[in-house]
Amino acid sequence: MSDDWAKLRDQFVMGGVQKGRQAMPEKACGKCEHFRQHSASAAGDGHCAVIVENELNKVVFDNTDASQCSQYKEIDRIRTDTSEFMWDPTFRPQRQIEEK
Amino acid sequence: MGGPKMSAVEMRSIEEIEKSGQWWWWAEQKRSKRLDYLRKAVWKKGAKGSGYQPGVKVDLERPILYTQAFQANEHDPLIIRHAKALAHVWDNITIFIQDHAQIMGYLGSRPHTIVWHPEILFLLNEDLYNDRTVIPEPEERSLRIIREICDYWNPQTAGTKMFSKLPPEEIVKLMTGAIGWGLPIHRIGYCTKQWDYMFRLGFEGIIAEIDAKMAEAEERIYRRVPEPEDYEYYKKLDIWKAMKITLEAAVRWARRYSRLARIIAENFETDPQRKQELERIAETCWKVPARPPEHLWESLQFDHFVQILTRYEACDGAWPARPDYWHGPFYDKDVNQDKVLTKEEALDLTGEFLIRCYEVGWFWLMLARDTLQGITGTWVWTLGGVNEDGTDACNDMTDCLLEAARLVRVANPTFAFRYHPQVRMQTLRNVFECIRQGLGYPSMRNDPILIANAMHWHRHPLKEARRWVHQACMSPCPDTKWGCQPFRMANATIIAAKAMEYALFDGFDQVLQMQFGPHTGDASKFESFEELYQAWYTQIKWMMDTLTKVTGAGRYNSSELDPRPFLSAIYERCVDLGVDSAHPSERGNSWITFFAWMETGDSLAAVKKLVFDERKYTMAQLIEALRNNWEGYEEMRMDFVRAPKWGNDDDYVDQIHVRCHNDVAAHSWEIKDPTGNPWPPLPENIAAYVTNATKVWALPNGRRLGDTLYDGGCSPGAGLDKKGPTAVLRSVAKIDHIGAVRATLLNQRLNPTQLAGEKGFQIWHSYIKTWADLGIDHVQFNMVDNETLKAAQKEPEKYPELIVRIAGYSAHFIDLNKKTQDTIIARNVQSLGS
Repeated sequence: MSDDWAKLRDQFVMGGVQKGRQAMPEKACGKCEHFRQHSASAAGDGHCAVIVENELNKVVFDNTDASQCSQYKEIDRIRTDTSEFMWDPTFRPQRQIEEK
Repeated sequence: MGGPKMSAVEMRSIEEIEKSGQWWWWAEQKRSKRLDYLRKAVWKKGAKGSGYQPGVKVDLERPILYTQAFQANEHDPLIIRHAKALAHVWDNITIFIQDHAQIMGYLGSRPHTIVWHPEILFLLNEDLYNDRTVIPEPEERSLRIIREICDYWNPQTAGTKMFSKLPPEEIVKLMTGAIGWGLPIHRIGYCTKQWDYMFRLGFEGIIAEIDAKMAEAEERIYRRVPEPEDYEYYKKLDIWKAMKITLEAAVRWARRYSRLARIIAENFETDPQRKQELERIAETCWKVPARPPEHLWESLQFDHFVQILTRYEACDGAWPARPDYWHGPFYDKDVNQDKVLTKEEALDLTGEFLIRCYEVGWFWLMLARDTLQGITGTWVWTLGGVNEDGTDACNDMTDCLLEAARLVRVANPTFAFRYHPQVRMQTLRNVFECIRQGLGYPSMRNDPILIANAMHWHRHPLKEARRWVHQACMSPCPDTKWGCQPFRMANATIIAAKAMEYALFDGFDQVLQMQFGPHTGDASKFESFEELYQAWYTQIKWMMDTLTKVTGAGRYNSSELDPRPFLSAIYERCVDLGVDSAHPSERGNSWITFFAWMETGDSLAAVKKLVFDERKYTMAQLIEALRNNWEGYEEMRMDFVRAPKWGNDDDYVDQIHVRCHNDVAAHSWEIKDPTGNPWPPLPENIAAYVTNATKVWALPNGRRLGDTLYDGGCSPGAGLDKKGPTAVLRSVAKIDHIGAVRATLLNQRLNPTQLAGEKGFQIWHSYIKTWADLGIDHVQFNMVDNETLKAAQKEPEKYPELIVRIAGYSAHFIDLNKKTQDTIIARNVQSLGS
């Protein structure tokens, strides 16, 4: 199990280093209602709340490609106003995501 | 009919404005024209919600210069590379002198800019790229530069290196934001400064000490065959060299201001008075921080330079200071004895000193921006208290600072006042006047209790314990050679209410849908209150262990991975030992901040009463209702809301709270920080009671997911204290404020009408005496009525300087988002003496 956590940590650190500014796919984790944004930053890091048996939840980024995901469910409302919404589940501060 | 029209406010007399309680207009009329200009010219650097204010832009000069030098010196040891990078910034960054200013030093190259430190954390860098408000024009060009800087730094930021070294499970869980707050990084901390060292020697004196140390080291390792213990000097030499590079560069940076002031005075300034001011600025900035200060204007300038310099190096999130204690002797000499400054001039300079602090800002992670909305950091300055010999430490500088605060009405810094029975009355009246005028500060700290507390937890000797300052919002720390904690990492901060959630759901996080805490059993099958309590205790101990493990590892590894040469150079301990500031060789002053703490006792009491005592509901029913976030269970929820609540002097619930406090305090002794000291709990909330509302699932106190949490550390829930202020104090006094907590925060709202005039002071003073006698360590007040707050929500432009107390800091009301504003309005207004 500790290896799994180490993998998650590396995914998260390396993802934060490399993925933050890549293009936003049409179907992206950040547009899905299962996306749980991490609270540290607006870097787009989060994880997927869908539980797969015997596995830890995956670390994903707002711009992770979700086109192959069977659980993808597009969020109805997206808010981007950083002056008002603090960790509202519909809040997506990332530059690449538009208000909806 | 020509000429400017007077506004309705300008036409009213000062007395009329006073009577209306609109103190922000009063301040505008009372302060000098110079101060008024400086106050209005200042840019707000705090966030609203989590977004920066319009017009504030990130400064790209500092990251570009820092990166250039860091790249150019890649073969140097890490600490020397950082030192040279800082020196390159200080030698080259654009400096300016604002009209009418007398105190120099700015963090950034222009007044509206905030500094970005790309070497700290990859997430911060990506956060900046994503920010829609602070990228300077032209945006495309700025984004290109930002991308280049990110690409260089992201693989080697302090965070990248540190996270790869920390315990994997714990760091991933911390970074989700579910159980904790803050980051285990040396460059994001709360740094208590050691002023006696700096003021005694000046930077040139410290450099002389470093030179002597280096000469001795070279003697031992270069000029003879070293003894085994001498090999440590190789490492120490690099550290001393780096310290010296930064101290010399800091002196050069200050002297750039000196030269600029001289150039303006000699070549451009036509106003003789301003010319004279500029000449004095030139002399002052030449002298300090190189040499010890001798006048008030020099000591204030020295102080401000050091604060700015440390923030060029890193994000010092707090501003531990005791300005009356350290600047008081200079005030006394200049104003009372030598009469080289008038009282009015000293007041004016002090007002500017506060404004200069208020304007400091940097680009900060979203997690900090939203939980500290309205301000940049928890800059709580300590006033009053006692001297090392136990006599009253209040002086004329204390009064001057309190008076200046009422004139400039900034939200940062705020003050906390160390109250003790011998405090001089004129100062106490001044304290009250600040509170009455709605500043929300000073908060009141019970000095004898906190001195005893510092001795209890960290074994500070009495004399040093009496030197304590606030290391952040609340925690006392001596500013002495061995007592000074060089930094405190904020990530020893737990969202305590999650332990209750985990106890009810077998360690499963309902919000994140992840197994977080340990398995403590299916709570729907618990047959006694004790089973639930023990499940909760297991969960909270796990949270304390998890976060302190990460913090300890962060502290231990920082000397190697993330050294801070300038911060190290201003600590006598570090210079003496040749160690980086992160080296855990001080006496220690750790604590764990408990956000969202008081929900626990109220939740446990509600379950005890309704499930186990009265048997009105079963545990299975409760878990089902909670799993559904109380939806479809409103009648049942109201029963849980009506169950006994903290703050009403009701032993049924209060004793459960006391037990929780004592048990976490007991566990504090079982876990040790790298200095070998315990991790005492410190419940408080800043604005996290709002931001965590969507992270904590429904609880048995009747709270639903999304409802704001309780706002203090020992405050009752908003509107749940039904029996008046004395009952609140009696409940709070049941906690052991020496042995059970490092400190704990009590918010109270008072009625401004009731506290008008001399009678108002007497009523408040009597309340404070009761509070002190009961042994409570903290209380802070909001004294603004709901009518004013609602009017400010409606027409914010009319209330620019209306201040409120959040929880551990103050902010301008209009700089808060609506959700947070509403929580202030919802707090009960207490009538004293009733």
